[in-house]
Amino acid sequence: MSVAAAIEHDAQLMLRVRDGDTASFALLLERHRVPVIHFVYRMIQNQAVAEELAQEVFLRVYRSRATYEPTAKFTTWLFRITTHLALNWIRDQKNERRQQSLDSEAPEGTAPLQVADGVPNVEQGMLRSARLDEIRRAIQALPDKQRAAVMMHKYEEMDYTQIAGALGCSESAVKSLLFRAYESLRARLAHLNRGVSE
Amino acid sequence: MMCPMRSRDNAEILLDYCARTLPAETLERMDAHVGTCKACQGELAAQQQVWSALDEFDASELNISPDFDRRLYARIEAEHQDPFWVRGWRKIFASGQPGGWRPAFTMGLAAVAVAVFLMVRMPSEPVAVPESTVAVEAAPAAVKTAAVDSQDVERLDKALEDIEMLHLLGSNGANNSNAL
Repeated sequence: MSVAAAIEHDAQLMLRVRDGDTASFALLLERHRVPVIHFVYRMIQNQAVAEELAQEVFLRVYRSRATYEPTAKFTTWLFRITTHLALNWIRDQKNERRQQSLDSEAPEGTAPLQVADGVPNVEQGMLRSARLDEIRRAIQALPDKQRAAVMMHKYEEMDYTQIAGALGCSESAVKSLLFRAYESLRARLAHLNRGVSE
Repeated sequence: MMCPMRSRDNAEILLDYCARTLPAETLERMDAHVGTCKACQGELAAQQQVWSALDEFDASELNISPDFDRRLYARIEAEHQDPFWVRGWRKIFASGQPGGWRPAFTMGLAAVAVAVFLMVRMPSEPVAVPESTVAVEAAPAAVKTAAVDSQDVERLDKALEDIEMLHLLGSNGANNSNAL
């Protein structure tokens, strides 16, 4: 299926959901479940919360079925909801952490989620894990909107117009966000590449 | 082709080149340009290193809960059981659709709040000008000025009457002395 056809297909499915066809909702869920969960996971780096937020995303899609109008690409609309929820969650967490740090001297940051990998030996596994932690930390250190823009650009392969639609800003703002985000990542990840080349 | 490194406006071309999302024609021109431009080569190498580092952050290793769909449908079903007003309220406040009811609702609420504020702040009847001195002391500045003005007019009237009276007395006195 071509990209244009897939876009058209999503909008058609959503219009059918609007008309009460729940099977079309199941198809939409099937098509977008994984990208939405992966996007949220990369944004907040917590699988359980990523799944909870993804559930909320699809719940909102379902709730909005009656008022849905295919004015923008379905994925732009979907990622607008997703980004909105993820950014809200991050903001709430920051507030909560700030509150907790006022109450106690808790250490900054949370332990990164350990994802099982298929490396053959322990040493390689540890090296890879350390490298992955560095990459995660570099992504986590980006300002929220920059992070969302990079995630959509790099992993969802969305164009500037779509990212702008999802973030609710102009295309030039998206370009600027991406430019600054990649610049920060280059600076933060430069030592990793030096380690590899040495 | 103008070097993307020399213009901030073209900076995204390098991002697109690295992501291989440029149109075929631009891609060819960029290939030719990058072959000779040291600045672009350095920038591209740095960007490609970031790109490949990000590739390592592979979320496909996540094991999505097998009951994800079941939980979602259970929540949808539970929402169907909610009373109509809860569903209506949710539609207004949880809609992700741009241009829905939410902005209109918020604007309406703001308009009502402004109207209530104005009704509370603005007096419905005009303030009567107090006549007594005590009332003048307690009245606001504008009312005080009005009261002071009316007192001055009264005093002026009285003074004019007194002058007239003296004038009359004077002329009467003269007449009387003449008569005497």
